Amino acid sequence: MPLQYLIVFASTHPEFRLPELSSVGELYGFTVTLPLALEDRDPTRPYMVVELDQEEHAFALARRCILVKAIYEFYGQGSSYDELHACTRANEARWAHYVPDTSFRFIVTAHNHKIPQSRQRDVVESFAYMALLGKIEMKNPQILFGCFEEYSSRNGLLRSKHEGDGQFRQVYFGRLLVEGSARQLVGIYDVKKRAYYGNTSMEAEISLLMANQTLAAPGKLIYDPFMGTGSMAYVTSHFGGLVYGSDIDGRQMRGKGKVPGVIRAAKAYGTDSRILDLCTFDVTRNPWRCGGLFDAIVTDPPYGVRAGAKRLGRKKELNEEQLKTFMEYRNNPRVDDQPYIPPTKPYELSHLAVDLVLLAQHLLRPGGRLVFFLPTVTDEYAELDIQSMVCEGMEVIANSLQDFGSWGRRLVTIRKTTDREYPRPSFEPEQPAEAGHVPAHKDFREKYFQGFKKDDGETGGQTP
Amino acid sequence: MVRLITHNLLACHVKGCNTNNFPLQFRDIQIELREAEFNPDFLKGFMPKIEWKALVDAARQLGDTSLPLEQPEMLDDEFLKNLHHVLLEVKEV
Repeated sequence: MPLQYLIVFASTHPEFRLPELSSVGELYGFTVTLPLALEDRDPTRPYMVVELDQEEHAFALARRCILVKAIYEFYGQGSSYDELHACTRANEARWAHYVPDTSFRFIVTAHNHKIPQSRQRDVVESFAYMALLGKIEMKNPQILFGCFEEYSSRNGLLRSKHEGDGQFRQVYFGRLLVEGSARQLVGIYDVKKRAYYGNTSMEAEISLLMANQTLAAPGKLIYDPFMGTGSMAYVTSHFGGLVYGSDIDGRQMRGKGKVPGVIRAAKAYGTDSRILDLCTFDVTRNPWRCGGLFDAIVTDPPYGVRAGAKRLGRKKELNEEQLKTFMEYRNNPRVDDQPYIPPTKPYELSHLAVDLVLLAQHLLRPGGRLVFFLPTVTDEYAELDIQSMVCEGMEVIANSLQDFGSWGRRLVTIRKTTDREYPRPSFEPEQPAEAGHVPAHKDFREKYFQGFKKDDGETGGQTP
Repeated sequence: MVRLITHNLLACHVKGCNTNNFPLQFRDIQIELREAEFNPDFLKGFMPKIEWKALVDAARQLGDTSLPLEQPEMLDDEFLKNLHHVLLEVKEV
């Protein structure tokens, strides 16, 4: 029979919780079985009872999942204490061996609420039927029992201190198995403490979540085609991945100083030997010799707000005369010529997104993953926006929203499902005549700076 | 300034350059050695993607003759150690 565990989630990024659980499960080769009822698997709820085949799977989740605060061996739950106690009694076999001689401690706590001390004591005493004979130890007990009351959010409502006490939605009970140890990485990879970062660096928690979506592990080859200041490289290499990074403008990767900034920061984390090389090239003219190379492509593409995406080419093609002059000086450089810097033109976000999926189809190994952020306008987003990007042999396996109000960004995870090889994409923009689906992220930059104005002139919410 | 694994993966990407574009030729080179973690599983998985002749030629140009001219069928420890060194630890500067 599968074992039941109570997961206590960290309070951040609810939509990222379940994709992370299943990714880490896939990485270590086990499944996390979610509760059957839709309301019990609602990721916005802080507690969830899942089934695992082995106890060590729970330890693996706690070691690797950024959003897991703790995992408890599950004993009981209910919408009232009567139900909870009945359930806990029925599961006596799970806790009976702690009865004779194990020191213990109880914690009674709540989500969205603070339980008055007097009632906390009452709750602990209501477990008297367990007849635990071991010593009560407040410091260093051998085992810790946790009782969690879940209250619905009452944000914005004025209420007195303990109003609504006891009117919880659900209450859970279990024994602490393991505290999540991956959460401390959020502090270690804090951008502010990093040896090298820029204004486009990705915050630590989200980049760690992205790293987990890539299934980063020792010996995996991972590529970031819009590397910038290397935020994805540090976290994926932390988990053992070997990282390639490229960017059309090498200055972001290099920074000032003799050793490239990305390498300096990686060195401070002790992972610089896993950053294979940093290359300066336009990904639409990439020099990769063949496809099927990478286990994962992970990137936070520039979406034009802090930094715009660029590709080689001219905004306006040269006329005949200009072209003649250009070719003449190109073939016969003058003595005082500066080194040639190729011109760039903007790379529109919706084109970039489509190209990125095609690139991944070409460059990924079978089963490889593409993980990237896509900004989108909250009111205009439709599921088709993502589905219309997907091409043959590629399948969306997760799509999690980080909500900023009038806009948000979606972390999209796409898996290459076939072992077919695909040619290098042409990176040619589609014919404008094509009357296809227009996704909400098209011309995101313009929409952003217009404050997401709707047609009736009403302005959107705040910008972060 | 790349490792030989990178040298083995990059072809010339100048517009219209479609023939004789691999491998890139070395010019004015120095080498640098940097230690990397040895992972035999990675090497075995990566073997099919290697252009073997280009790798051996590049290594020989840099003075490393530890790799055989033909890609061997049997992957023993010593071979994998040499391959690891050439692929991941030799950097041309």
